[in-house]
Amino acid sequence: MIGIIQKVLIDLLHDTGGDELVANVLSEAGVPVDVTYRIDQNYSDDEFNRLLSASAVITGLSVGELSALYAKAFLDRAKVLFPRFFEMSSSSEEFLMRQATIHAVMASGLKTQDERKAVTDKFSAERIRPGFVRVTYRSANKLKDLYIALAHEVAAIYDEKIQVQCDETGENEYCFELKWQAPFGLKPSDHLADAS
Amino acid sequence: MSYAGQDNELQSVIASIADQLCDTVDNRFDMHVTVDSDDVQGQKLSLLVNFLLENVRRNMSQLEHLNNQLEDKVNERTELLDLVISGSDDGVWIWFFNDNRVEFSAKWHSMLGEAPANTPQDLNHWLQRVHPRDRADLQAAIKALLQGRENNLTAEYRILHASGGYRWMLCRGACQRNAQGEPTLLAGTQTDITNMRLVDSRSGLPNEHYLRERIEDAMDKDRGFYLLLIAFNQLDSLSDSLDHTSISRLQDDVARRIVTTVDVSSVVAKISGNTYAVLGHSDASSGDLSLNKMREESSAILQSFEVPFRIKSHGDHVMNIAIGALESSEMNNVGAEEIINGAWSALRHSKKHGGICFYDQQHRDVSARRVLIEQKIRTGIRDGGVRPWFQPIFSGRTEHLIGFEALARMDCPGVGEVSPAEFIPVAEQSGLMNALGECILEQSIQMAKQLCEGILVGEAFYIGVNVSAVQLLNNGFVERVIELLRRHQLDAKYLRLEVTESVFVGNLDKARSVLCGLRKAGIKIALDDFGTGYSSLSYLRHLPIDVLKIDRSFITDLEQQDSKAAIVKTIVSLAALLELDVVAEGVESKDELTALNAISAMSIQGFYFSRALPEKTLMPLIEQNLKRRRVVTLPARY
Ligand code: HEM
Repeated sequence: MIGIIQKVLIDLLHDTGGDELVANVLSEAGVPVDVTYRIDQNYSDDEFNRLLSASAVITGLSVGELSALYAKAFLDRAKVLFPRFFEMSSSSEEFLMRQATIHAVMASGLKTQDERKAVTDKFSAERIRPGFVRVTYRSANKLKDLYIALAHEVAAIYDEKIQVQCDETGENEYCFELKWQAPFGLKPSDHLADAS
Repeated sequence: MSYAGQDNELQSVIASIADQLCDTVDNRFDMHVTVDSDDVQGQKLSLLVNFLLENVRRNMSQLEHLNNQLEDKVNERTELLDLVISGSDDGVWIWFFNDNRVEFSAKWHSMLGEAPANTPQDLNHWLQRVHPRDRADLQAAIKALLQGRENNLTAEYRILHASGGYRWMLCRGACQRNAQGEPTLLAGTQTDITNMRLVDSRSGLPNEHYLRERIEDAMDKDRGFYLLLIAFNQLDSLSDSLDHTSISRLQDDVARRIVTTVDVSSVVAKISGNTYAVLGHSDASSGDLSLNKMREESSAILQSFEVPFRIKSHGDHVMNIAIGALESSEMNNVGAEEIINGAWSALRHSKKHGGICFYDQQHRDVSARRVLIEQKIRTGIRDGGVRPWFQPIFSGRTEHLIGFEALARMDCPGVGEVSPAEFIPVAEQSGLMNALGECILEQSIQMAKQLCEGILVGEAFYIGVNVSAVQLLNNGFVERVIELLRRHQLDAKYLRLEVTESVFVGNLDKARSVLCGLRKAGIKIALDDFGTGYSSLSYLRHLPIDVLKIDRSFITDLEQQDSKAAIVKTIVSLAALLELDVVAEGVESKDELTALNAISAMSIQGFYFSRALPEKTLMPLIEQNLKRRRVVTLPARY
């Protein structure tokens, strides 16, 4: 797991409960206190999973609540770090279609081809029709709640609303169907394309 | 960390990334950029640089993959092309313009009996080997392609073989051009067509083409030679009665007999279905010796054919042959074509009289006259030297003038008198019948117009004009006749077109439809020379005609021959039944006229009344007839 994920979590804990909360969570998760996370390096997936569970235990929040908080904090950070990704997309639909590619950009920081492939294999997005995107997510980390929270948060950034339906389509595989409520910036030709 | 510290750190990050990127000058993109900094912006920069590098790598590998695919395809295509070329037996050549180099395939060289060249050649290697008579044509064809006047190169030429002889080649090629349309490369194939061109495929003997080349060769080298043409007329009739195997066996035997009889150095060629040629060379420079050799050889051939051929299930057969012989010294300063024509002319003569005919002064005169007459017809058609004379036609019983037949005549100053019997066959053989016919037709229409507005105003009459089969069946004939009538503002009733039965042979449907078209336009059709041809009387009913012209052979002396009179009676009563008018041709005596008048009322044409006359002597005759008509008023059928 690329370091930005953990970094945002630690910073969120720090903002909420200061050094103490961070230290408690790190020790609960069995992670050295002097750990630093870089956005261009890989850390074990398991470590992040332990950090996430430890955060829930120590804060007393549910995974869902924690994910929502985290999602907001993550995207706030992403907006600062990669504002262009948000400017490039004129709607949440466009952004979420680009998410898989953004992940591939992030994976480029990793040294080995295998590491990079592990990241890029996780997501693929397909636009079924205007206002309807299907995303396939494959990962042993099963962070589907995080995905859903992030998706809603992205919609909120663009002042839009979406419905997210999640189906488990295999072991470690989920399918998200994202639907935007009209109007979602349709052009007349899009209607025609859809009708045919 | 202070701002200055941050700036320094960022600077070192940038420097480090930039240093690592220097490797790309060697086209190396398989690197991973790392930064040893906690600054997240530095990390972000390295990450995006890595993304960029990865994209470059991916695109490059895609490109390489495509390149490999392309290379594989090219190799595959090249192999295929090589296979096709090696299988097709064609030589390949490629001419590169940038350095004027021509590459020839190994096959190209081997076709000329030479070893493959290791070094590139220039165009001269090729052109110098091409026969001098063909070189200019090949160069012109290449030029036309280079200048874009032609899209493809196709040329046939002879090329020198290492053995010293020439072989016929067909060369095909195409041109590659750059964006400015300038040629960059010319490439193509060369196919050996010697056999196709020079060999008679049935007999395996050389053909007329080859014969002509050998004659040209001998003439180029100033060598004396003689040419024998041997015709077997029976071969045609035997072909009808014998099966295919027997006839081809017979043809093989005939060829073998000629080959084994003549000198080994002579060329034996087959120049038509039943005609062979022998080209012999005289060793001596003296014309006399050569003449002797020709006479000996032709007599030997004649003799050898006295021995009968055994034809399976048909018994023994002696083949009648005719030989036309020509010795080269008999014709000076002429081409191979004239030599062959001369031999043909001798052959025609020998066919009539049998045996051998040697081309001599007399033939030369006949040929020369033929050529002169052909020229006169050509010019005559243009300048009025060819014109119609008009033979009057009368009503037999009233002796009133009722029409004319236009007959072609030629003014030939310097050639002496040239009768139609002489110039019509020449026109036929030179393909001039159509032009001749149209020329006579137009002048006759002009004459009819002049008569109906002049001396014969208000009188019923017509001018009959002969139309040959070639002319009649020529596309658009009906339209042209109608157009001529329109142009000269002549009523169609003044024109009659006369055809012979031959126009229907083999073209019945087409001839019928053309004649129907003419009749629809109001033109009457006469069937000329009736009785000499093929049609039975009952067949007449199916032909779109209005008039029967009974051939002179039934008229001559019919008052003395009951059989002839009986035939004419039958024809006349049949014509009455079919509502056809009848004209008796060739009436030359009072007795013939009386006999015909006794049979029925009909029209009469012949010397008894008048020969064909030129316009100026025709007028007094018409005037005289009109005068008589006003004095004697008999009830007239016409
Ligand atoms: C600028 C925006 C974003 C950036 C820079 C970003 C970056 C990343 C990175 C670096 C990881 C770690 C990947 C790994 O090591 O396997 C990750 C994981 C993940 N991201 Fe994003 N992300 C962005 C937006 C989103 C959004 C909008 C969503 C969902 C709608 C999303 C969903 C996830 C999920 C579910 C994971 C966990 C995957 C797994 O390990 O199973 N991300 N993201």
